[in-house]
Order: sequence, then C-alpha cells, then structure tokens
Amino acid sequence: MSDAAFELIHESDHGATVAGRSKLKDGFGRMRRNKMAMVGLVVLALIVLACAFGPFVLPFDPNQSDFDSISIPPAFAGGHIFGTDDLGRDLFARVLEGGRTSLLIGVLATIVAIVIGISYGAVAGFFGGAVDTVMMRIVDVLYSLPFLFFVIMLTMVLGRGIESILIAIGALLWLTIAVIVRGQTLSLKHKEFIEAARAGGMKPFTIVRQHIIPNTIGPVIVYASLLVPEVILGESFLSYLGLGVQEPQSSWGTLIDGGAQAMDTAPWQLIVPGLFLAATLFSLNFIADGLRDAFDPKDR
Amino acid sequence: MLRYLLRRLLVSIPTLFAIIAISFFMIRVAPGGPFDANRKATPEVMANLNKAYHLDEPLPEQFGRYLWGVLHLDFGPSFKYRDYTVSELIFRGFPISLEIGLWAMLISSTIGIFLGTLAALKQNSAWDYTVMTVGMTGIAIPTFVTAPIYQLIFGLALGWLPVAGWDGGWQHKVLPVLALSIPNIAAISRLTRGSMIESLRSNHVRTARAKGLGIRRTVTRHALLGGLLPTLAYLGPATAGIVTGSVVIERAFAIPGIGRYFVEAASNRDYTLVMGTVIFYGVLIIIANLIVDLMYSLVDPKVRYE
Repeated sequence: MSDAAFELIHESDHGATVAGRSKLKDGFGRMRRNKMAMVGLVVLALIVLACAFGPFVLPFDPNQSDFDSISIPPAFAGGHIFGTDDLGRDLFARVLEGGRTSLLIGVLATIVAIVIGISYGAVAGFFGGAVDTVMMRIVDVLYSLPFLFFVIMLTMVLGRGIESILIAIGALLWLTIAVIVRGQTLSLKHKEFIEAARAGGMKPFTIVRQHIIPNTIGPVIVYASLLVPEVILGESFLSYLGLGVQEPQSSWGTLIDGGAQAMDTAPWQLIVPGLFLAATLFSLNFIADGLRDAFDPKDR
Repeated sequence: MLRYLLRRLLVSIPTLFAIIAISFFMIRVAPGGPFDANRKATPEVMANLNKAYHLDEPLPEQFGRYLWGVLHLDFGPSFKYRDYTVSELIFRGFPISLEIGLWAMLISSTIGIFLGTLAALKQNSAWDYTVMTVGMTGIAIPTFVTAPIYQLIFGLALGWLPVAGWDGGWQHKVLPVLALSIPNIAAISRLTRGSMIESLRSNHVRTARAKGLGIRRTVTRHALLGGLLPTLAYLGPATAGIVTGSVVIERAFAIPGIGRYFVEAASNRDYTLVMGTVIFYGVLIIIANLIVDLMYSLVDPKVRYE
C-alpha cells in the first residue's frame, strides 16, 4: 500500500473519531434541521433578550405611576406601545419586568429539580438493592401527591415570595427526572467501561459522577425542556391565585390576574401579558418537541 | 382481578398516610397560629382555646387524633368559617366542582378522541395540521388566560352567557366547562392521534382491511381498541389536571366549589380547611387512578393483574 493511500484510509477511518461526534453534538445537529423548534428558539431568544435588556432601554419605570396617563390603550403615539394600567404604569415595562421573574423562576427551579433528580436517580440506580427499593418507594408516594396543592402548602410554610416558590416547585418536580436517570443508570451500570472503572479502583461516587451522570444527559435535557414551561405555568398559576409572587414584585401570573380584573374596561391589560406567557410556553413546547425528536433514540 | 383490586387498595394506604402526615406536619411548621387574629385574648382564654382544640397535647397525640378524625370523615372545625366544620364546607362545595369536572371530562374525552382519530386517519392532511396546531394552542395557553377571554367574548361583547356566578342553571355552566375542557381536548386529541397512527399500522388492522372489512368497522372494532389504551391511561392524570384546573376556573367564574374554598383558605391561613381539601383532593386522585387502572385491565387482555 502506498503511503498516500494509507494516509487516505487512515484519515477517513480515524478523522471522524478524532473530531469526536458526541451524542450531544449529534442531537443538536438534528435539532437544527427542525424548523418549528428553530422558530421556537428564535422567539424565545427574543423574549429573553427583551426581558433582560428591555428595562434598561425603555423610557418608563415599571413601578412609576403616571396619573396623567391612566389606562390608556395601546398606541405608538404616546410611547406606551402596549398601553398603561390603572395606575398609569407602562404595561410593556411591567410585562418585561414580570417576565424576568417568570423566566428566572422557570430556569432556576428546573435546575434545582435537575440537580436533585439526577443525583437521586443515579444513586438509587447505581447502588441498587434495598437502597433502590426504599428510594423509589419514596418517589412513588411523592408522585401520588397532588403536586400544586403541596406547592401551595409549602409556600404557606416558607412564606410567600420568589425564593419559597423556587424551593417549593423545585423540591417537588424532580421525581420524573429521578425515575428517568435511574432507568438509564440501570442499563449503564453493567457496561464494560463501568466495569473497567471499577476494576481500576474508582470509588462508587466518582463512577456515578464521572461516568454515569454524563451518559444520562440526553433524556434529561429532553425532560428538562418540558419542565421549564411547566414551572413557568406553575408559578403563573400560583401568582394568579394570589398565592405566589407578591407586590411590589410582579410576574406574568400577577399581571394576568390584574388584567383579568380590569378586562371589561382595559382588555389589553389581560391580553398583553397573556400573549407573552403563551408565546413563551409555545416556543418552549416546540423546542422540547424538537429536542425529543433529536435525542430520543426511539423516534429516529 | 379481585386480588389485584385488594392489593391496589392496600398499596394506596401508605400513600394516603403520607398525604395526611405531610399535610399535618407541614401545617404545624407554618408560621402563625389559628388564634393569632384574636386580639388581646388573655392567657387564660388562649389556654382554654388551645385546650378546646386539643392544641395543648403533644404532637403525636394530636396527629393520632387528627388521623382518627379523618378516618371518620371528620376534618375538624374550620378556623375561619367559625360555625362550620371543614367537612361541611367540603361537602357543600364538592357537588358543584364534581358536576363541572364530570362535564369537562366527558366532553374533552369524547371530542378529543374523535378529533385525534380523525387526524390519525388523515395523517399529514390540512385537517391533521389544523387539529395539531389547535391542540398545541390549547395546551400552551393556560386556563387562567383563556377563562377571562371567554368571559370577555361570550359574556361582555356578545352577551350570550353570564360572565360569572352560579345559580345551578346551565347558562352558568357553559363557560367554565368550556374553559376546563379545551386543554384536555387538546391533550387527548394529540395523544389519541399518536397512538392511533401506530395502531392503524399494526398487523391485526392490516389483516382486517385485507379480508375486506370496511374502513369504518376496522377503525371502530379493531384500531380504536388498541389505539385508545394510552388515552385511557392519560385519564388518571387528566383527572388530577381537571381538579387543579377547577381551582382556577372556580376563581375566574366565581363558582362556590371546593377549589375556591381551598384558595381562600390558603390566603386566610385557614389551616384545617387547607389540610382537609388537600387530603380530599389526594383521595380523589388516588380513586381516579384506581378506576383508570381497572378500566385498563378490562380493555387490554394483555395486562393481567396478579
């Protein structure tokens, strides 16, 4: 074999492996071809950017009342493009401010749920036996609790406010992730590379951290993307009922609640925050669908 | 079958116990006591109050007393509605919530299954995309946004139906049931579509078609049976969703069901009423899941319960 030919084969054989096509990269590549998911991603990015930077750019303070412009309907003329509320506060500024709270809670509570779920599921699956049985029994019992009612009870215990909502939702939403990760762990733990790690003298917790958890990440990403809209919805639900975020802080839920009460005279106060919430949930759902198609081996 | 039923009932006992225990101890940790609102009560009065409500006993004893009460459907007195017991309030609100919930359940499963099947039969047609887009919308827009919008359109703008309130007449039921059904119609039609597509491709359906059975009979007799299993399984969680949804609906439409008592109790710190409703809801969801599992075993002969 000539040197050139050898080099060619060598490259085609190993070039790809050296470049490393990880499961993650593969999945995101497939995701990029999904139009709806990409549209969702763009819409979501716009909303997130608007909420993050809008309050610095807009000329109105979300909490500043202006009694000369009470309840004016949306119009480009006065600068209040989405109108104002009963106290003359600019609705656009308020929606962006509320969006910060809603999105922040959505992301943070999901992270809390992921961290608890992954550790719990990986430990239960990897150690197996009695540990597994007891841990999963607990999950079963928690599963059958009416989730939102326990969130409400938890917020009664912890006091109202963003932190307690975060803890309450995060503390109860990790169950499904734990079950998924446990299943993945069970199928992973007899694979050769785990045996190798064990034979090499790695400690159990290090194996879980370095070998098990990174390999369960695909399904976890998929489920986490479903979790974010669920959390945002849960927070808005609580705030709508008056049990979540409290004045002077606002979220999309509190704005919708206020809007619903003023809807006969100022329907835009309901529609604007409602549209923002719906657009966010829409795009998150499309993204979640795209991620599932990209990462779920069953549907490929 | 009977053994399975018994075992399921036994298994739900620890769950029930957990629900009661977690509620009880969580509420005890919550700040503020039931009698904080009593201004300037002398220590003797407070002591008497605590004694009357057994709050002076050690916790395990109180828990035992509460547990015993719950077994007899006695959830104690409401701390806010002074002359009522929690059970009285629950059983006053429940028939109303149940009526709305059952209607919503019936309508959403009928329409959802119908739309989902149609979408599956005409997969990738304009009809299919319409159903799926509407489905996505129904899932993504929460009831606390849609309910006021329905009130705005049908109550205020068109004036066809009352905006809110409750007198037992059908006019007051239409909008709440509609608002509660739409998300479930969406979820059920999406689910049915997915499983029906799979079921329509399966061997026994192809055989039925091959031997000359009409499309209508094939669908109703052969495809639906298999295709409805995931939908059936979803009815358990759907009940839980309707229960949660009714909390929003009852607030939006000012309906005096348990959902509204629950929300009021949670903001008034009426601890016994909160505990009572949570436990009641928990039992409801357990029963719904049990019924769904039993129905599942009747439809699917492969699922055999030991």
